[in-house]
Amino acid sequence: MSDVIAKYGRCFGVGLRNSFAYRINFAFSFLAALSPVVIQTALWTNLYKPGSADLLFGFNYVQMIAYTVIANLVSRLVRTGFEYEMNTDIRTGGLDRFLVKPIGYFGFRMSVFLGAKAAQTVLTGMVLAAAVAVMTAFLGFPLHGAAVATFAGSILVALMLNFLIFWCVGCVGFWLTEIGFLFEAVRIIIITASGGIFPLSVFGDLGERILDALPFRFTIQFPTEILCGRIPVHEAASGFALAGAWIAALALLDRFLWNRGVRRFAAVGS
Amino acid sequence: MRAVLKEIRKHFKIYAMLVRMNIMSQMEYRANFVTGMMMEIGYLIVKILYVVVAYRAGRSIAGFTPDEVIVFVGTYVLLTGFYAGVFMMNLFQLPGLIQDGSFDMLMTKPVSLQFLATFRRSDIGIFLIDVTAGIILVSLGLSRLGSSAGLPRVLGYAFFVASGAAVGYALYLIPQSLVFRLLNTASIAELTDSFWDFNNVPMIVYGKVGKFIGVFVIPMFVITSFPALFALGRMSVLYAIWGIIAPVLFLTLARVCWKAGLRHYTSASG
Repeated sequence: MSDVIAKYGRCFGVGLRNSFAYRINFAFSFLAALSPVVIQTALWTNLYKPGSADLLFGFNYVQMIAYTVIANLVSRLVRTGFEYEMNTDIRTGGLDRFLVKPIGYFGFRMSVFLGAKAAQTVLTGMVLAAAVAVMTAFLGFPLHGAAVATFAGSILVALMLNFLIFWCVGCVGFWLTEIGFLFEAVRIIIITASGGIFPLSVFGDLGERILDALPFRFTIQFPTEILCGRIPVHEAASGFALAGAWIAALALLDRFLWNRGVRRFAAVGS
Repeated sequence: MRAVLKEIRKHFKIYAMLVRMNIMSQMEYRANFVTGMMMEIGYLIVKILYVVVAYRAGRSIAGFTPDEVIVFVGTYVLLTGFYAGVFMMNLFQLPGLIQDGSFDMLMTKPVSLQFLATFRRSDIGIFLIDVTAGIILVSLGLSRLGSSAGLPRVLGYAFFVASGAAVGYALYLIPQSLVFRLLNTASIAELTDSFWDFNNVPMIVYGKVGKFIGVFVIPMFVITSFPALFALGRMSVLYAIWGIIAPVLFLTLARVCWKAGLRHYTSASG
């Protein structure tokens, strides 16, 4: 057992070190995240009637601005990228190295992913704390300690779910030799369906009900609404339970796709 | 004058050949072509979401009705065709050309180096999707407003679209000309790319200061808001004059920056 922990702990360390190697890029990606926040804040400020308890899509003005800021940061934090490396390993035959070594490819990728996210979470946490402090001081954004703790738990669930979702997407590489921009296309759709651009209520009752039934909202909208105080802490338990069910279902789907995919895998000339 | 016209004609002929070669190369990798189109459709959905928000909110944005917002978003989508399909990929690939020494090859060709380096590649799929969707959205918005598209309006709109495309090219070339000094401008590219989205909403939402900066200092809003304002018959004389001057001014500035940057070029293969 301790061997397993040591083995995957080292993989976690690799991810952690990689994230430090590209820290400037990560910092710039935060600056790039400012654009959608500025654009959407300007849009909502113009749409809401000033000084009223106006509701749009079920959000008051402060909640909507908080949602915009937090959802953009969460969306950056849970973002994956390992699917491209997975595809390269499948396409170039590099995967065979892992098939003969005493290490599981799934465990390796997840440890590296979580390692990279550990460092990013610290930086995101600091930016988020600063943003929340500004919103509390200038907009009267209400913040509760219990909501922060529940939010931290929901981020762990979001990371896990996003990893499993993009593992499924990465497995497509076993069937398609030319992936091209498919991952990017899927990513955009998933972010939209997760509430990463706008809250899901903009899709109307039916659209929201359909998207609520899918796992995507647990990766961005669910953590964001917890921190915004729109999902009370005592009501979050049912959300966690549903997210847990999706994690189990996706883990089974991942295993199925991987087993079917590996049977098709041919590492010619590698 | 005749020599200048001859030179322009020559470059148009070369551009037509480059477009043909790019189409042939895209057809060679059809999956990439199809997935590239899927990705652009994904981005298109996100852009159209802003229209959905305006309609579902049922309110005007800074004095513009949802039907007028469609004209703005449509123009933004149309010009994204020029941005993503014609020049963006060339500008973002510049660091790669310099790092692997291929830039030397371009220098030896008997055509303008700036032309060849910044218009070499194009993506007809992305261009057609965005331009078609943009024209449909603008026509839809204008027809819902009951505006007739007479010849003067169409020609004026086409002029400001061309002016916007020229300003966009210049604005994105200026920061990329730093590549000759910095060698890697990936972070700058990511940051400037995120600025493109500022045009997803009418420029009026950014307030007086934001509008002034976006029109006269970093003229992002000249790119897509000016054609839309003209189509809606809400363009001031000052903006019309600036819409004529800005492309000349910023193309000249971009040319100066390019030449100044080029003096710092050192061959990677030498």
